[in-house]
Amino acid sequence: MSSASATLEPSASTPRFEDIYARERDYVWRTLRRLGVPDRHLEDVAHDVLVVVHRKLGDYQASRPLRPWLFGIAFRVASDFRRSAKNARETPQDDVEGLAREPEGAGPDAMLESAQRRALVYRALDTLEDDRRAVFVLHEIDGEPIPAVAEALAIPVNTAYSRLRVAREEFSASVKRLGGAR
Amino acid sequence: MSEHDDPLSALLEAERDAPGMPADVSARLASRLGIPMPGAGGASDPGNGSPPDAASSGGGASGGASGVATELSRWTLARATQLGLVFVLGAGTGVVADRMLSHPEPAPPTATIIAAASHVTVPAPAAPVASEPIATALAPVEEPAPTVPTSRGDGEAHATSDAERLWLERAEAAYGSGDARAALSALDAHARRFPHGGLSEERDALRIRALYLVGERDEADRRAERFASAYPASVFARQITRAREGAEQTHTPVTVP
Repeated sequence: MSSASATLEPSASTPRFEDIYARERDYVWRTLRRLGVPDRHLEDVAHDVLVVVHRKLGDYQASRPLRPWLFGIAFRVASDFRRSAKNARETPQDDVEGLAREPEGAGPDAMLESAQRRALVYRALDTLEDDRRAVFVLHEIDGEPIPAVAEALAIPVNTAYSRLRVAREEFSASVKRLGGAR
Repeated sequence: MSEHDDPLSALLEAERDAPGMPADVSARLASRLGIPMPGAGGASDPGNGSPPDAASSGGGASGGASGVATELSRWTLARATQLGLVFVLGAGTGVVADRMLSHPEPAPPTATIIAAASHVTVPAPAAPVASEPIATALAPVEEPAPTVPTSRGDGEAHATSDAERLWLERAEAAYGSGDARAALSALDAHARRFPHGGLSEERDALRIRALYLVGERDEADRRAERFASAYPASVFARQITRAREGAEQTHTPVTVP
C-alpha cells in the first residue's frame, strides 16, 4: 500500500485529512472491528481505509455528514479484505486486548462485563451477511438514519429498510443461539 | 432496535462505548500516513457521539486509561489463571446473552458470573490442542461436573452446560488462531464428551469451516450439504459459505503440522 504522505491542499469547505484523522480514527477503528476485521489486522486495514480517505477527499461534499461517508469507504475496504482467499477463513478474535483498553470510570467487573457483551456482539455480527451487517451497524450502532445509510452504501432506501429488518431478526436469533439453549 | 426497547439495545449500547484506536497504533499510523502528531495523543473520540475538539483531545480513552488498564490487566490475569481467559471472553458471553435475553432488568455484577463459572470443571482433551497460548490459558482444572446436565432425546429440549460451551470455545479459539487441526481435535473431544449436547449445531458448523481450512473440501462439502438439510435456517450458514468461498479461492491446501 502506498503512503498517503503527500501534502493535502483542501478547498475551504473540505476538512483537512489531518483533522479527519484526529477526530475520526477511533470511529474508523470501531467500524472495522464491527465489520469483522480481526484485531490483528485492524491496523493494516485501518491504514488502507485512511489511504482511500486521503485519495477521495476531494470527492467528499462537506455539506454531507462525514461518518456515513467514512463508513462507506471502510465497508468496501473491509469487504475486500474479508473476500480475499487468505482472510475469508479468519474469524474475528475475542476482544482480548480490548479488556486492557476499557475506558475509565468503571470497575473491573463492569469492564469485564462490557467486554463480554462486546464479544457477543461481534460474534453475532459475524453471522450476518455482509450487506445486511453494514446496514445494521450503521443504523443500530452508529445511529444513522436509514436515508443516510442508503446513501453511504449506495443502495435504495427500501433496500436498506429490507436489509435492516432481516438483519435485526438474524442478529437476535444469533444472540439467542450464541447465548446457548439453556 | 433503536425503537425497540429490548435487551438487545443494552447489548449494542456496550458496543457503542467500545475502545477506539490504541495510542501506540495511532502514533504508528500517523507516521505511516505522514501526519504530524502533537504529542502521542490517544483516542480522540470518547464515544459514538459528536466528534470532540481534535486540538484538545490529548488523552482519550485508550491513552488516558493506562492506570485502569494496569489494574484491569493485573486483575484479569488473576482471573484468567483461575478460569481460563477464553472462557471469560467467549463462553462467558453466553452467560451474559442468556441473562440479557431472559432478564431484561439490570444485570447482576459480573462477579456472579465468575463465581458460577468457577464451579465449571473441564477434563483434559483426549487429543492435545496445539494452540499454545490458548491451551495454556484453558489448562483444564479438574474432573467434570457440568453445571447443567446435558440431555437430549425423549423429545425434551436439550440443555447446554457451561462445560460444553467451554469445550466448544476451545475449538473456536483454535480455529480463530488459524490452527484448524487443533480445532478439529477439540471438536472430536467435544463430540465424544457431549454426543447429544445442546451445541451440536455450532460444533457441526465449526467442523465444516475447519475442514475447508485444512483443504478437505470434499468432506466439508458433504457435511455442509447435510448441515443445510438439518439446519435450514442456521445462523451459521453465512460463516460456512464464507469458509467455502475462501477454500474455493485457495489452490494450495493449508498444511498444518
